[in-house]
Amino acid sequence: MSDATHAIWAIALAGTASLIAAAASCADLEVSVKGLRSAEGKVVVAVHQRVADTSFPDGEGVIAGQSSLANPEGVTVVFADLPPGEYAVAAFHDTDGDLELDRNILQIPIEGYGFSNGAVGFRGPPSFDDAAVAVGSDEDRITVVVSIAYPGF
Amino acid sequence: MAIDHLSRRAMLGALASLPALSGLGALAGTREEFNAGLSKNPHLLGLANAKMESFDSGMKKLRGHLPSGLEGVLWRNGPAEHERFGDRYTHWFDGDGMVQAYTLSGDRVTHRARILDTPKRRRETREGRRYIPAFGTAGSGPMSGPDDMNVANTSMLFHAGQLLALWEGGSALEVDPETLGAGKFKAWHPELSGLPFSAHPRVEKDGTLWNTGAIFFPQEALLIYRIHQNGTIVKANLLDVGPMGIVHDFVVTSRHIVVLLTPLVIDPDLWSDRDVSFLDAHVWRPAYGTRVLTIDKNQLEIVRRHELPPGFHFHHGNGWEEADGTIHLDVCQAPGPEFVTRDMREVMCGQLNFSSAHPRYSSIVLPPRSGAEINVLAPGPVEFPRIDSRRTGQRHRMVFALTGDEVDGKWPFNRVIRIDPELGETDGWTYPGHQIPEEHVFVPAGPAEGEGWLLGPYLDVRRKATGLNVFNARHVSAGPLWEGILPYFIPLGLHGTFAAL
Ligand SMILES: [Fe+2]
Repeated sequence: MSDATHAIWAIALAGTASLIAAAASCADLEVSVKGLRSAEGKVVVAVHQRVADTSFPDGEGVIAGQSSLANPEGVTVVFADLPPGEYAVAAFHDTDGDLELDRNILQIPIEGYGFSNGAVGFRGPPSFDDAAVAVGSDEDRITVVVSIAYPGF
Repeated sequence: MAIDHLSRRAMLGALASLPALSGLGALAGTREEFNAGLSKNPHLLGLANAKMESFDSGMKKLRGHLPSGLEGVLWRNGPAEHERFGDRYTHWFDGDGMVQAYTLSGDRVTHRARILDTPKRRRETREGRRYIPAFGTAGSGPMSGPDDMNVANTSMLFHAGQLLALWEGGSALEVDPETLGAGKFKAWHPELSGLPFSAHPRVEKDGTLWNTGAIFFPQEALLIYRIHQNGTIVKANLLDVGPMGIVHDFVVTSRHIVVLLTPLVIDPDLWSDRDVSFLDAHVWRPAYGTRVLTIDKNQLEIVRRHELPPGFHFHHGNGWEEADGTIHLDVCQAPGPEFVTRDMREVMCGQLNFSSAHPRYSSIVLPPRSGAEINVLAPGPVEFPRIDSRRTGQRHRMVFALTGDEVDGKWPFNRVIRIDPELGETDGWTYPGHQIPEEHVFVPAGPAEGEGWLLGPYLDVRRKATGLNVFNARHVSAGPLWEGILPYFIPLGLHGTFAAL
């Protein structure tokens, strides 16, 4: 079924910060991660750009990733100097600190995760469009909130 | 079939998921129709909404004496919140589960019941509306995995000291045996987290537990579990079995697990449409016949296949195996799926027409090297079969079940019977017309098969109260040894389990 490939997705932490050119009129993207239920492990946040023929949120679209210690009060990470464009943010609560989104035998995530715009999927992740946020050329900083939801909770 | 059963009721369910029609719009009709039906037919009380989220009471004795030695808890489960926020579900199996404990101690029976506040139900409470997809009613909620819609409403399991509420489509839910409060979903292993654990596990005399899980996304697969008597998982295997739909029950023998796949299968196109419920995503494909899979208990791989004529069933009594590999099992099988796709919907909007296509008690023989056979053993409808569970996987001569007269407008079951799987009905007792028996559970006393009691909850539609009968399991026709009644009713439930204190 097509659902199978759709549900097999990853938030990869690519070492791609250098891809972001220090172009003119860049903006900072501040990501505020809410809804973490414990301080266990880390929060992993990735910024994706649209990649042709790749279903979000596979790793190929990742242009920047950061991890931070988990905190139920909220965690904020900043991605500096993003050129204007459309981005989608995916985050997960990496409770075991292995920087991987843990999954069951059918590749369904078993750690908490969330997307920008509060985007949610149906038997799989949301589309890039549902999670996309625009970073314009005349802003210094835009803020995005990602709420973490835990499978089965 | 899919089109036939996208009936008006199903369409209303689908429409209600559209934001513009949600709330009191489309589904309020179901509720009004049900209330109109209930005012004419008191038997529909069994599908009324639970009046409260929690109940506690002693049982008032109506007659007899509790047998000495009968000490323990009968835990039961069943859909009970058929309506929430003004919406009525469109299928009997949809609603949030209510777990009940009948505690038998000394000469007293006490009762406690709680709605299971699952993550699904808590999300709906936060939103103030009923919107998450259910078995037979489409919905609009996000679906990261099956537990997002897990209502834990089908059965109870007490194994290795742990009480679990079971559903068919998702994980078992941990339940506190004292408070009956809902806990976490049970993960038998991190890699099996969030996957279906069906409502009819088979537990052998030594405590070894076997179960299946029918998985429909992200791919179709049948999961087989082998769990040690201490509650830890020994082995699991994911089988590709081809087209599959509801897989509700199975049997084990000394060496095998036997699963019958009915021709009611998921249609991938319907299933990908989120306005179609899980039940309505099924299609009837009689050309498939009933595919019988025999799975080796050690390898958890399919070692034999048989085919039987098409039919639809939920429940088996038991299975066993001869030395030459001939497997025997029983099944409550109907010619088609209408009792679940049509009748159990219609009853939710006030129509009680269970007059056709009932499951019949049938015996199946699977010879190792030739064709399978099935024979109907009892003429009337038979459901809720239970055995002396100490015979699980071994030759059994007693099945306790419900049967009835098939009168239109009446609940189809009004008689508790004992069946000899080789002879048919051998003993029974008929309930008064204003009482509806629920599943009767065997409780062992002496060492021989069937030496013990039957615990039989029932709904008295005249008193609007739930009662409990205790029978001598070997002399059901003598009537109850003890009978007690509650001051309130609980909607008709599904399955239960007994544990000695
Ligand atoms: Fe069942």
